[in-house]
Amino acid sequence: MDLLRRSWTIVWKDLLIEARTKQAFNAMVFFAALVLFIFSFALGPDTALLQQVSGGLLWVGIAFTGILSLNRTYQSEETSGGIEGLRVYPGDPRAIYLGKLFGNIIILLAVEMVLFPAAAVLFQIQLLPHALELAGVAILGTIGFSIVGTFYAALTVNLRAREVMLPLLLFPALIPMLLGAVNATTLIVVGDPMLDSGIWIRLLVAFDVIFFVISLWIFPIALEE
Amino acid sequence: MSSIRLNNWHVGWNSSRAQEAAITPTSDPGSAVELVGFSKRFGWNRVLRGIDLRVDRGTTLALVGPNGAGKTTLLKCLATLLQPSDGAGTVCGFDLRKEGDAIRERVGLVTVRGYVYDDLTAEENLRFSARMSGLKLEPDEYRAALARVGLERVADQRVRTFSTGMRKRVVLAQLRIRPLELALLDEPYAGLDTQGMALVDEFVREFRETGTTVIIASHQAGEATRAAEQTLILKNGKLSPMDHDEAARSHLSFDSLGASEV
Repeated sequence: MDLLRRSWTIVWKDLLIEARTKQAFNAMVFFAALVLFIFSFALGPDTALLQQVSGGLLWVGIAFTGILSLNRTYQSEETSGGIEGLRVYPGDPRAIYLGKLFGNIIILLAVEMVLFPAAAVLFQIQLLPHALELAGVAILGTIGFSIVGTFYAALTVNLRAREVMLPLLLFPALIPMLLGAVNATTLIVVGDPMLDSGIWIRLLVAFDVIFFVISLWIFPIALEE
Repeated sequence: MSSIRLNNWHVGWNSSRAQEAAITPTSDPGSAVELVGFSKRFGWNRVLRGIDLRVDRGTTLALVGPNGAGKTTLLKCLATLLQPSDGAGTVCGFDLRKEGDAIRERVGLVTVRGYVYDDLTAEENLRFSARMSGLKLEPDEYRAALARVGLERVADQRVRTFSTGMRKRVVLAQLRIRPLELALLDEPYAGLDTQGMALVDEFVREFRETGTTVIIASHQAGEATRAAEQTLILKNGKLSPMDHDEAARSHLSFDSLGASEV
């Protein structure tokens, strides 16, 4: 209970600061929109092709945009003495991980609420008939991305080349999650008469559970000097 | 009667390891800090070298020394933000290596910049600090804490707009909202005007009256010793005693080259 209360305190603080500065959200929305525009122009007006690759393009956009959010996860603490400013308080250090994780999930989902409609327009996808399924995949994928990303961001926060190191370490670990999210999204968009997307959604659920348990377990070690 | 006891053991790396295995500090309920063969290295750089120290509860201790002497490192080790490389220690009767959480419940640390968020207001910073410490205070209590440091009129302003001295006052208010057994003040006078410095002295006096142990680290011996009862000098990673009265009378200031009168 104390763990969740302290996690929520960190979420409250981070979202309050983000609501005031809007640094991460604005940058992420513009960057994500730019990525989708570039892909859309590069592939041309072929609707069938755009729909076939829409899942991949969407998740590439989300992954690149998510990196911006992850890089800021602990850097935002710098003016207040860095991550040390959170470690100085009593209680389970996992509260820091959970707080940062929930914050990343909320901000990334907020960006996706702009990103998905933009993708629907650019790639000529019918969003409404598949809204629930797409929302489910987006939430599972975002949770998986944030679980691993928040952990790796803590590992790389004190590295000199952290902006480069974070994606280098993170993307290989995200391959199962990206495979699941891309395939599930594409199947839902182009039609899934055999319900094959269920396999990929189960992969996403398994990825989220396994990596959440591992990350939560070893986060206190990652926080040490 | 509060007291400190120290003894620097000038030991090599291996012998320190041997000491760690052979000697552990006793969990004496009368001691706020007890260190045995305590060392801290960053890579090859040995910042603290085999420190033995005992600080009784209720003591107000000034820790003086030049920049880079290891004062901040020692305070961060006592606050469990850094782990010792060699040796062992207890803070408030709890093992530094194994019982960090229990120690953090009892210890407050003020750093030079403080753990304050620029884009939160003064009151929000206090609220965050209290909640993270497991406290649930009434809004009036936050206001009262800010009034205590002279910031009641700017309680709703973001810290970004504050001067260095005002920011330091927020840090002091953070320290005062929770009960502490050990207060670690790193350069608490830095950036403060005369009134602010008097406020720090007053806080230290209040801490002493309530039996809280205080360690004040500063490179300005005159400032640190003014509010303290005893003085230690930390230089090249080793602690040695310093005549407190003499240090208090002097305006000794340390820089990276040594000590000088200012």
